[in-house]
Amino acid sequence: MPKSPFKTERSIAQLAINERAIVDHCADEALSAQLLEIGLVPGQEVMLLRRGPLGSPVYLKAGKNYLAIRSKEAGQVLLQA
Amino acid sequence: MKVALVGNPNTGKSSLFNRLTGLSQKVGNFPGVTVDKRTGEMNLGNGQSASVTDLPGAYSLYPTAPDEKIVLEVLANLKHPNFPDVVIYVADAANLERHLLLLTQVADLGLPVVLALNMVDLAEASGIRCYPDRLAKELAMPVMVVNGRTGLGIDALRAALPKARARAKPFYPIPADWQALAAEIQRRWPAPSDYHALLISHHLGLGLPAATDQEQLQALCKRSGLRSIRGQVDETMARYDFIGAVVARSVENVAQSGSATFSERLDRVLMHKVWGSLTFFVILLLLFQAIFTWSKGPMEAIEWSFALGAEWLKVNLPGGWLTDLLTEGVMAGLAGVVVFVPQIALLSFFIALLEESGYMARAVFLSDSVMRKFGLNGRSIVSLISGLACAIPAIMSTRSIRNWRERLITILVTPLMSCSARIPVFMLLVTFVVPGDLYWGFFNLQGLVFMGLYLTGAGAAIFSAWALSKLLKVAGQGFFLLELPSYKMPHWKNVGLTVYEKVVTFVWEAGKMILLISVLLWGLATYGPPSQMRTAEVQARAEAVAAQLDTVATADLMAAKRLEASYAGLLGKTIEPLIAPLGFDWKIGIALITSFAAREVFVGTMATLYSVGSADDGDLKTVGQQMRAAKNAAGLPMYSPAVAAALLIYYLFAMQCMSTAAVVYRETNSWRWPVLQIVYLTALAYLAAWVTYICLA
Repeated sequence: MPKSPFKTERSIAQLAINERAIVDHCADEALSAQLLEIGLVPGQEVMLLRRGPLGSPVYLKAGKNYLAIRSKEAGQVLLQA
Repeated sequence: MKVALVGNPNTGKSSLFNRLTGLSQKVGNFPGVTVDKRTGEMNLGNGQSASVTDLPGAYSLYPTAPDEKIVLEVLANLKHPNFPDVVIYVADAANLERHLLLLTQVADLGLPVVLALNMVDLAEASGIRCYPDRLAKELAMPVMVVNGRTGLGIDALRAALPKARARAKPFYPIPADWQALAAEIQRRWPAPSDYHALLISHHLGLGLPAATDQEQLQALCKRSGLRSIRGQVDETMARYDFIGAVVARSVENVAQSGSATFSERLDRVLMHKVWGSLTFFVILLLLFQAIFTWSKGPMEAIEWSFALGAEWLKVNLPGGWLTDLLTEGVMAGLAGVVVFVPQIALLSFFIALLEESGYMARAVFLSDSVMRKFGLNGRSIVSLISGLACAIPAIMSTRSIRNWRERLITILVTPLMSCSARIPVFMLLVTFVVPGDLYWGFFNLQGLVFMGLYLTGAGAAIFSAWALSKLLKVAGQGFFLLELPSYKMPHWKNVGLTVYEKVVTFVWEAGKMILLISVLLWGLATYGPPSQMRTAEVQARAEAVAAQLDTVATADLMAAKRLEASYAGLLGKTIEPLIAPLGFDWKIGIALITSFAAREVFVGTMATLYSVGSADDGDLKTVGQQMRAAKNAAGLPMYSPAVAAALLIYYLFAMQCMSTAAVVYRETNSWRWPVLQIVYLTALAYLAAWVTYICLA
């Protein structure tokens, strides 16, 4: 997975509601393996749909998949600039 | 022939399983874990039959939860009793790009696979059209369109199974670096394919019998420098690349209008911080109402019919201890098991509805952030609220919590939610603590105390959960990754089968234990040392004559004296010194023992002990009057506010329900947890009651 040369990258946790972005890579290797299997793949478009009552988890649309992950993990999924 | 159903969660696999096996299905446990194992028989269409196992839904053969592990274990271990001859892989036709990942992994294990495309109607509705023939050619395996709900394609599926063959080549070519390792492994422990061999190495020793084998394997892997996660990621990406190309050639995406789907629109409300949470709250309330109120009628009907049955037996069978055992011990015990059926059925029904419709995932989403602070799961809140009606169906419902630690904590704290059986006890005792006509502003003081009890129970549950989550440190399991299925109309056949399954499991498994303990307790309360029993009867008769009591009153007095002289009475007197610091006497001691059958037995026992046993069970007034008149050794009223309050607190916390213990045993697969629970809760109850008594006396 190509790593972006820029230091400050945005993560899914920083998206606004209904904002779309493209996934670049996941900072945590173990997490990336699991995210891949559930359908969150680099190069895919994600859209933040909702945040949970206390800010976590976050509800995403990733391609055709509707997923929810905790905000901590969402912070590990970095987006293309 | 053995068949296994494999696929991602939420693919309608269970509908297909139900179609194939109908009522022949059975539910058990996979050995060693509390994961449902559903098996059944199916017709192959040519007169032969096959056994089918419905494996838990999984996303890949790299498991992150106990139920995913089961899938790996069954498919990768040739000696596993459920190891299949052919696999039916169920995929959601609308999302093949992801669903086919596990398919390629399973096929690479060297197993014959038939791909069943499910939910094609839903896919077409969102503009996705599959071409099964093209897909079959690309994947080199049979592909059929099925519909688990309508039964479309089932016959074709049946016919395809005996003809399925393993693929000649794997989907994922093993990278050069690892071919050597795979060959080494194959040399020592022959596997159906190289991929299979590599999986064994990744999961260190799956299916290998001896510990020495596992050590050797570990050494091999170390030498080859296998980096697990890196390898897993590379493999997954490679598979996705292949699948993406295949899907692009076999699936057509008709241009979409771009407007939100029905599910998306519904989610705008149901996943909203405010509206979503509100809706969730209302649903929980409805759930509680259902189990609490709607089950009352059926429960009374059951108790009434068993009482009738017992009467009939009494009349028609010759008198003697065997008849007594049957009518009072066994019949009462059976009634005590069957009486739970309405609540279990109602709760299972509602939960099945929530799961089938897809709402449950939303509930988990909304409650996750709060629940997690207490080591609980979003699904735990459904169990806890149900516990306000009855802990038994509540604990049974924890099976859907995949994380073992969260499930265990939920099971352990659920009995602290004040169940409906405590209500008669509360109602009886509250009158001794607070007079009925006292008001605090608008609020009736008794009502406030009642509410206070409930809140204390809930508070204790939450606090215990928090404490347990700190104490029970289990190795970290997978990250929280929730897939939200689209909203669907529940498949009523599935719902029906699920309810039937849960009820039968309870009656058959927990029921045996409950019946046993119930008969035991009955024995203890009915029989005593023969000489003592005789003395008691003689004494009672003499007293009755002296006081010129009528037949009913005499019978009541006899019952009271007999209970005192029974083994239960003996036990009560023995534990009196233990409970004296709480202000309790031996009569309360007896009631504590008999209450282990069920909490509301407290009222009946008190009634018997105070010689009003013939009074109607629900007649708290009569019992209350007698209790009020009771005096303790010092000549003061026995049931002072302090004692009553201590007793209330005791019943609030103590685990006095053998049925709950039986269900906890079944759900945790060991005696350790129910015993621990009883010990912990009894200790908590004792301490709290003692403190209460000290403070108020």
